[in-house]
Amino acid sequence: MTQDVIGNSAVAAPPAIEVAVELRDVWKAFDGPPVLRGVDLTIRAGESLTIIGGSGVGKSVLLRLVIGLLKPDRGEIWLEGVNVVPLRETELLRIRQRVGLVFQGSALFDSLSVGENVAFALREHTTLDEAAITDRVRESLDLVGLGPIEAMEPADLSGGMRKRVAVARAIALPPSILLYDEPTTGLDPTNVEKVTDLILALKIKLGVTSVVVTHDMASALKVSDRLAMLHQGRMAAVGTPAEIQATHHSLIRDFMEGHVQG
Amino acid sequence: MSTRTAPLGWSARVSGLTAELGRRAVDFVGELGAMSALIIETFQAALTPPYALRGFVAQLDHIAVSSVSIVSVAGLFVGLVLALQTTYGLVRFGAKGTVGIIVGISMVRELGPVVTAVLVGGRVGSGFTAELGSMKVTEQIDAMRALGVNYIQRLVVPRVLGTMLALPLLTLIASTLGVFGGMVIAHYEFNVDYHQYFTSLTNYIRIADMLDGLGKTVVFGLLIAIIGCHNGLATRGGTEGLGRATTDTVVKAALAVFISDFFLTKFFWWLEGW
Repeated sequence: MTQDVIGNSAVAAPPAIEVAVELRDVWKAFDGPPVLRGVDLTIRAGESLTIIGGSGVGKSVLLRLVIGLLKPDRGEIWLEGVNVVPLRETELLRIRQRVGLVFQGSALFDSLSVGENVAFALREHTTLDEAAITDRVRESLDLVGLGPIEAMEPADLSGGMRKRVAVARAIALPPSILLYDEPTTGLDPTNVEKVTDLILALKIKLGVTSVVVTHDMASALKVSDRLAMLHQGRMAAVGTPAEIQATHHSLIRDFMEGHVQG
Repeated sequence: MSTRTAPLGWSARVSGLTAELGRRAVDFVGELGAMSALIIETFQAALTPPYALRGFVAQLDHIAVSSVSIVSVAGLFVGLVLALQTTYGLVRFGAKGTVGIIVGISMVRELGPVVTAVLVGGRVGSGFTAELGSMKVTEQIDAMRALGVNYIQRLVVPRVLGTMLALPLLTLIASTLGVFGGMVIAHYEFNVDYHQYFTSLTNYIRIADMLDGLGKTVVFGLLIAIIGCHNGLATRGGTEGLGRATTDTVVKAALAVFISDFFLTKFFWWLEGW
């Protein structure tokens, strides 16, 4: 299947536009048939792109490949001008300091308090004193709409709060790219709304490039400048929310109506 | 209609067994390779700044404090039994006065290090697997990597170095209590004079005996911590997989101690010029 262009949005970006992430012919398999079969995708700096698709099509795998947590079997992945595929773990660590990843299950460090979770990257990568770290933690928690909960333990938080703490941890050391893995999955409608608004607000306030992986169409349409649909290991279609909503592309219509399988 | 299948012939059974043995051998070699790689990565990370000094002190404190009571009790009772059995035999030759040196050498060179390592291996090694395995299955290790932090440096180095230093300290306690226990039981059960016991001990035991015993425990500490950390980091299959990995660590750590003990004993003998 080839990637369909809906409207003009997926036309190759003009040279003047900076590219934040670029995937070129990326393949990945796990003990079986390939999950990704030649993914090509360009994400412009500052834009918010949502990757949609059914369960198990490899959306989360794609995010892990971008940040170098997984290595592709084939292809190139360029992150702000650097091909991350041949890099060793120690070299990737430096690059990852500019990228924030919000995990589907939040992945908060359960032996640390909320404050220590948010301060984790600051303590590891900066020489800030404790007062400055405390201020930055407070600021990050404010940005995600949480009160003074630094002393609380992750186990004491609700699902929505855990997601927001995970976002606060990802932005404490200001990133240029934020990756969200299923940010609204498992949340009640109120928290879905809150997290969706938060992604939108952070894009505006921080000016970061956002890549969101979700199968929640309402959230995707709200936060995205563009949407890309992953189907059968490839990008099946790319377009703006308006173009996606207006398309007659059968695959997208089926997905929006809930008929697409991975 | 019968659903019974024909029994396998002996050649099919042998070939099945051979295939299974081959598969296990390949798995074993693969695991050995992965652990060797982890040892190299750990020492590389340990020598690269920033040094995880706080984590190392915390681990050393945790390992030493959590194990000191069981190691002390075990060391004391091993010494008691050893003195009982040894003196019982020596009495037949009228040589009960030499019990001090026999208990001393056995405790310092062999039983102290091995008993301590097996106990710490079961307790601390499985603890490492449970901690790191739980972090693995809840994606906390990946979260650490995503935050640009070297998880080997942050999690494995302090545990490995902490165990390598804690084990000799704990062995020293276990061996001392064992020798002391042997002295008490030899006195009360067989009327061996304290002074005689102590003299036979100090006249014949050498610094090399102590270095041999303590040197082994540094290697035991490395093996226990690497097995514990490796099994934790390689955990798959959720909480069920975590349970399997923890049990596996207890067994492998004990086997690693017993097997390496033989080679280390030979190695230290060679160093001593035997």
